[in-house]
This record gives sequence, structure tokens and C-alpha cells, in this order.
Amino acid sequence: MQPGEENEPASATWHRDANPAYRLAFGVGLLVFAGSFLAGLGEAIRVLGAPPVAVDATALGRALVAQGDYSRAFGEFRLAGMIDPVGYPSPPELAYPAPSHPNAAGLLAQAGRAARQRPGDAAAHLQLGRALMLTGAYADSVRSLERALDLDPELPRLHASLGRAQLLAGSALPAERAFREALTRESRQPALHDDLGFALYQLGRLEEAAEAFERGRELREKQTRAPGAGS
Amino acid sequence: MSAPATDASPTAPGDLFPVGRVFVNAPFDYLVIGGGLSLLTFAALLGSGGLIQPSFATLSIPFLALALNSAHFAASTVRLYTKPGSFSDWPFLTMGLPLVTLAVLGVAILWPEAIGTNLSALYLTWSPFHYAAQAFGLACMYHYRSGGTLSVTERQLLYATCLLPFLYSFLFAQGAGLAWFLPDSWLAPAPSLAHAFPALRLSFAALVFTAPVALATLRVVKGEQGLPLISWLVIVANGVWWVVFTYFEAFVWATIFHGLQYLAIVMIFHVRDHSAQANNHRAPRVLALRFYGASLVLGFLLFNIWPFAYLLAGFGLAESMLLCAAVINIHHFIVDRYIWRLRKDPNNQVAMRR
Repeated sequence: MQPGEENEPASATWHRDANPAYRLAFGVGLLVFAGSFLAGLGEAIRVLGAPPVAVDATALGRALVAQGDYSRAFGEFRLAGMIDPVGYPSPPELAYPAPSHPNAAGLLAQAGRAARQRPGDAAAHLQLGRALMLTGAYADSVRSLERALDLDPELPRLHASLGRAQLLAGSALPAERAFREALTRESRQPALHDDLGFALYQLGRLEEAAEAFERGRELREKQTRAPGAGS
Repeated sequence: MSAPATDASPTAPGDLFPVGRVFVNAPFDYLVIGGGLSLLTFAALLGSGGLIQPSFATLSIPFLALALNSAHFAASTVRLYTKPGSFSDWPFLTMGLPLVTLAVLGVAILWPEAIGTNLSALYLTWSPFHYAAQAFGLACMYHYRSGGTLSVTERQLLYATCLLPFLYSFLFAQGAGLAWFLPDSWLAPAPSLAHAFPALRLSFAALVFTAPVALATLRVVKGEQGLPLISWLVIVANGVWWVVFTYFEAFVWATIFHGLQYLAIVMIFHVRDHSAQANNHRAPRVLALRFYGASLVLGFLLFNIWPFAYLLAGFGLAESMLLCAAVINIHHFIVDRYIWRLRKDPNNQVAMRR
């Protein structure tokens, strides 16, 4: 400010003196700010004025369980306040799904015969254990699968089946060990990560459970997107 | 806010702790500008159970944040564009910086993880420095208004004293300052240092409050006129804001009282500037209300409306809100470095005028 100009209005000289580049920058800046404020005002009215959408997180969680998307179901149940470290154990909707088969009795009879005929065959005991699981005889299933484990610990799908039988029998800790053992052999099986998630959930280790469900979901998505998937 | 250095000059022994020459009246200046109201409020809140609790005071935080905090950020912009001669004195600041600010926000919101987080950490780190600089500016201003002088060394000592709360938060704050550059695990290889950290923190906190006492004692020993009590109150209040409370509590409450302090002093300067103009026909109260009204509206638009424009453009509301707040803060810090200069600036006449 020059001497003698003290009493001029604040911005009286800026148009006259300002560098054209500054004037352009100022004009563009003003326009962008004014546009942003107008657009923001419209968006704020639209967003804040919209009626709240009532989402039944519990129902959504159940639907996701039915679809086998345990990761998102877990999130929805959490949102609904049904899962929290204090309120654990809950909710029944996230109970481990028991396997079933329309001809479970026939499969059991068949597997029983095979196991009696070949008592030293690990595969026969595996089939018996899985058939017992289908009929709900979880303790017997665990015994049969442990017998198979003694005979051949490297038998494919054995650790996963043992883990499932143990989890259904209510022994989450050995089930977790069995699922982790199975994952060392088949780390890219989404269902195995879900199984581990259920074991951890039953143990009350909720964050780890959420991570396991999420890993299962990621693998499932990756496999769906992979070329040739679903064909 | 900065203050001019004055040459060392022998000062006749005066009051050791004068009340000082105030702008409005002693209760207003001490409570609002000095920060006394913040200390009384904190004492009342602590007495009723804690600073952050669902009490009336806490429930009123959103309203206070808009009326004081948002308005104070906008006030620096309103002051910049209404300060006589600002366009010719600072062409880049007035005309170029808004576009630069928009560009920085655009880049940060496009790469929120790489740029945005650093922009947020920058403003969180800068914020306590800004408060410390304001405490220094106000302390000096009241001292000079009261007829006091400071030698270059005394001024530097006062500056260092005012910066101590900033250094404290820089060293010990979570997610800002030193923590911005160093991972949480940096102390792991040196467990003895990790064990010494709480003691170091306590010692530093004690220094924040003993340094002003030492500085005051130095002036007493030298027989010089002491800084007015309001200057010490400003310095101690800033120390309480950043040291006694957690970083989060400081961010909630200190911003509100810092905003109140800022709005009061900026309106005093604005009214005095414009009242002195020959073509002014408005009463001081009207000038103050117009200034506050403009600041409140601009603050609302910047903090509450602007982020929705980015939401409309497809960005998330959370990063839009956080990054708009970050660039508004940084713009405010930069503008303040200029609009409060007293040296060779008409501000000096306003500061010294009765």
C-alpha cells in the first residue's frame, strides 16, 4: 500500500494492478469454488434429505449364509449387533452347517461293510467317517477318521473331514488344528477357509474368524473370475 | 501471527506483572483472547467427570465447532480479502493460492493413500505449531501494547518458550509429528529408551510450564518490566491445551477455544481497520457482525458443503471430509503467516492503538 492510499476501499486497485496470470488464476479458482459449493449443496440436500433405508441386517445375514457367503454374513450379523466380543456366543444363524444326504443310511451301510472287509485301509475308514457324519453320529465319525489318520496321515481330504466332524461334535480347538493342517495341503480351497472361520468363531476369536471368512470369499471370487471358471 | 523485534533498550523498572493494556476490557480480553475461559471450562468439565462425555458441553461440540472452529478457519480468508491493500501486497496469496489449494486437494483425493494420508499428517503436525505461533504473537502484542520491549535474545527465548507445547506434541503425539515419520515399532530395538520414554514425556511436560516461570524470573532479576499477565495466560493456556490433555481431547477442545481467541482478535483488527476508513459509515458492531456472518457462512460452505461436491464426483465421503479439512487447515496456516505481520504493516498501528 502506498502512502496516501490508506483510506481506499480494500480491493479498489486489484483489477487495475494485478498480473493477468494471477487474475486468470483467481477467476478460475473463484469459478471452481462457486461451482463446488453449488454442486455440494445439491448433493448434500439429496444425500441428507433422502429417507433412511431400513436394512434388516439379520435377514440380510441369513440370506448371505444361505448363499454360502459367510464373510459378508459375518459382517451383517456384526452390524446387527449379533456378534461382538462381549455378547459372544451368538447368533444361531451362524451355526456350522451340518452336512446331509438323502441316502445317508445307504451310504453308511455301504461304508461300514467296506471298513469291516478292509480294516487296514485308511480310505475305507475315511468313507465310514464321512458317512457317520451325514447321519449325525459325530463322535463315531471322529473315531473312524482318527483311525484313518493313524493308518495314512497323508490321505487327501482326511484332515478337512476330521476337522468338520470335530467341529460338529463340539470340539472347536482340535477342529482348528485339523483345518490348519488341511490348509497346509490345500491352501486354495475356499471352503476350508470358511471351515477354519467357523472353528475360530466357535472359539470366540472373532477377528481371526472374520479374516478366515474374508480369505475364503476372496479365493472364491478369484476362482470365479479365473478363465474357464464355471465351465 | 508474528511480532516485530525491537532493539534491546534499558527499560525503567515497572510493574513486574502488569495487567496490560487490553483491547476491549480486562474480563473480555483475559477470558476470550487470553484463554481464561478455556481453563475455567476444562476445570468445570473435569469436575463433572471428564472432558469427553455425553454431557451438555459435549453435546454442544458440533455447534461450537461450526460457530467457532469452522468460522475461525474461514475468518482468515475473510480477513485476507477484506484487509486493505491485500491484493496488491500479496498477489499470489490472494489470487494464486486458491487454485493451488484446489490442485493439491485434487491430487490428494485422487491418491488418498499415497498423498492424502501425508497431507492429513502434515496438517496435524503443523496445527500445534500454528497454535504456538499464535500464542507467541499474542503475548508479544500485549507486551508491546503495554509499553514493554524485548531484546532480540529475550524475544528468541520467549519464542522458544511458546514453541515448547508444539515440540511436546511433535515428540509424543500419535499419528502426527515424529510418529508421522517413524513406525510404532521404532523403539523396539532400544527397550531402555522405551522404558525412559514416559519419564522423558513427564520431564518435557514440566518444562512447558517451568520455562515461562524461568523467563518471568529472568526479567524480574534484571529489573525489567514484566510481560503482562495476559501474555503469560495465553502461553500457559496453550500449554494446558496440548500437554495436560490427550491429543484427541486437545483437538476437540483446544480448536474450539483457539477459534474463539482467533475470532475475537481478528474481528478487533477488522473493525479497527475499517472504522478508520473515510468511506466507512457502519458502526463497529455492524462491521463485526458482518465479518462474523461472512466467516460463519464460508466456514459452513467449506467444511459442511464442499466435501459433498467430491462425493458427487464419485469419491468417498470420509476421504472428502478429511482431505477438505486438511487443505482448509493448511491454507489457513499459510494465510496466517502473512495477514498477522506487524512489522512494516498497518497491523502494527492497529495493535498499538488504544
